[in-house]
Amino acid sequence: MKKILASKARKWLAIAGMCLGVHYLMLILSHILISGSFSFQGLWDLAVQRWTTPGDATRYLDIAENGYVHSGENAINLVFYPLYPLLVRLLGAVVRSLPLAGVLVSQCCYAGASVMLYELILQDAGEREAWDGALLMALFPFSVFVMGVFSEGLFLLTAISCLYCIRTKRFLAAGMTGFLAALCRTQGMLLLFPAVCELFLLRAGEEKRPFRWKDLAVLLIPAGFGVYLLINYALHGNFFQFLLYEAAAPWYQSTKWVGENLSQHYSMALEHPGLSAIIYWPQLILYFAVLGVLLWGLWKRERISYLLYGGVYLGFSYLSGWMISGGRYMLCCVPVYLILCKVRSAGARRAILFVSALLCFAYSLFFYKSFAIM
Amino acid sequence: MSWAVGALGSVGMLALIGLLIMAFLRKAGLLKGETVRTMLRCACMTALVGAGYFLFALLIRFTVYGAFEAGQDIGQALGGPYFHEALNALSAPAFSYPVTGVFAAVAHFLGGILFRQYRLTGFALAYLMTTAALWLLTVRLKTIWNEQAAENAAFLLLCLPGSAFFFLPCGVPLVFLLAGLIFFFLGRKIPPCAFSLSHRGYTALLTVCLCLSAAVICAMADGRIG
Repeated sequence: MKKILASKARKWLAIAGMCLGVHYLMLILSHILISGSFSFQGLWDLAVQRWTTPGDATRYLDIAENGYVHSGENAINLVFYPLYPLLVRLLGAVVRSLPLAGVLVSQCCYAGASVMLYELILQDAGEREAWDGALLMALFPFSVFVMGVFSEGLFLLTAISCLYCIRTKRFLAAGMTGFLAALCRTQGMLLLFPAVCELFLLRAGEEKRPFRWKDLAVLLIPAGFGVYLLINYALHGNFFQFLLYEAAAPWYQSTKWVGENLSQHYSMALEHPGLSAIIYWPQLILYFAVLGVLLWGLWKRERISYLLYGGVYLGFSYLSGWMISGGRYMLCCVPVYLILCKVRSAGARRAILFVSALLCFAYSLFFYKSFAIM
Repeated sequence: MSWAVGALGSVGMLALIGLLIMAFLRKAGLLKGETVRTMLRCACMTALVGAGYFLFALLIRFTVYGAFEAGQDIGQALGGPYFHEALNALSAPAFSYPVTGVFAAVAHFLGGILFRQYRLTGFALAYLMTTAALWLLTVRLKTIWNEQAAENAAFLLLCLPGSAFFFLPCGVPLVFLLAGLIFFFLGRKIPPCAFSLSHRGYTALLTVCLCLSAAVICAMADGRIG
């Protein structure tokens, strides 16, 4: 037993090391390309500046330090979900630095997410597919966000853990991890779809498993979102105050049908050539690419609960009007990795890896060069 | 071009949703493999017949009137006041004709979701309704005759004179769907039937129907009907 555990631990370390190593390598190469030479101080400065100061990072750190406030210019920080800043605050009390705690939470969670993805894929496929899946997630074009003070790493960990628990029929654990995912991002509550789907198939399928009261634990998933709504109510007396803030400056986000948003991205890409290659074209291409992967997964009879989650995740994410972080959102569309890792053709696998690696490097470099990747 | 991107994305998303629902029902054992096959066959048959009618109408417009722009706008391939009234009703539903009004209201609602592509939605809805009706009829006819006979009958139905209206955004596809539903539910009581048309008889009937159907489409393209 000890030997098995030690062997597992070695594998997990290898996966976590590989996934984080890829990003550290990209950081080092980006530093050399940007500054023209290598120095540890320059590398440190670049990492600190780009991991802890852009856009959402400062807002997360502000919430971790001061919590949500009901008035003043930081009241709009309510649009950010509470779990990540809460963990940053807790770890910050130990390491005595909130930015360091933010980076540690993100990177540790991302390493954990890679391991969980590896284990999830092993449920239905072999070692090679599991390794490829983790590598694909590491090389997703916008995966650089898992390194800094952003909630992507934590969301990936909670969402993949929830999918793992659903897959292994541990619905109480699925409810708990889903609860955390829903406390991390809006998309977390969508994990209810695969959970209910698997429960239904367990009852209706060959197993004909009877209903158990413990299965109701999946309702904890939307409860996570409910807690967030309660925070809204406690602060502003309005359960949906975050929607009002999202609709105002600086986000201007509203809910529009997918087609209308895609059309807007296309028009914006033509109107703003400077931003098109880093925001609008990637958002458009990723939408159709993810749609294509999901349809291909349907064709290949991939697990229906994964496809369902991928479908609702894609649709829900692209309902957001005036979206500028589509690439970052799609990074967390886990079913894409679950499907792509099972591509059988060696040529196609190589092509996917080749394109992913090049794009991942390009967008990491753009991020470290302070381009408007959000 | 931007609307095309939006419409393509919308259609893709709706297709994904539809396929996911079907895959789920299939996995849950609520939808049999044979049922899915019949659905696909009906969908393909309807799509091919519809495309055939449309291309035929275009051919008539090209050769008789030299209307080359007809290929760019589906509405120009067919003339007639009723047809254009139905098309206009898609963007602003009017209840002058009850059935057409209901169809227009549904198409208007869906068209709004699909980035205000009312005409495209109208045609898609007509196609879906016709496919659904044909599937319902085929399923029931299979129990009365056999699979081959049911498919022959379904094809004959799509070739009847005036069946081009099944593909147009108006009340006809809705009536066809309602008729299909009635036949599906009431047809359970019809016992298996031994009567069958010979191959020669069937092809002769089909040929006559197709000639008459072609004439109707010519008249529609000429703006005399519809």
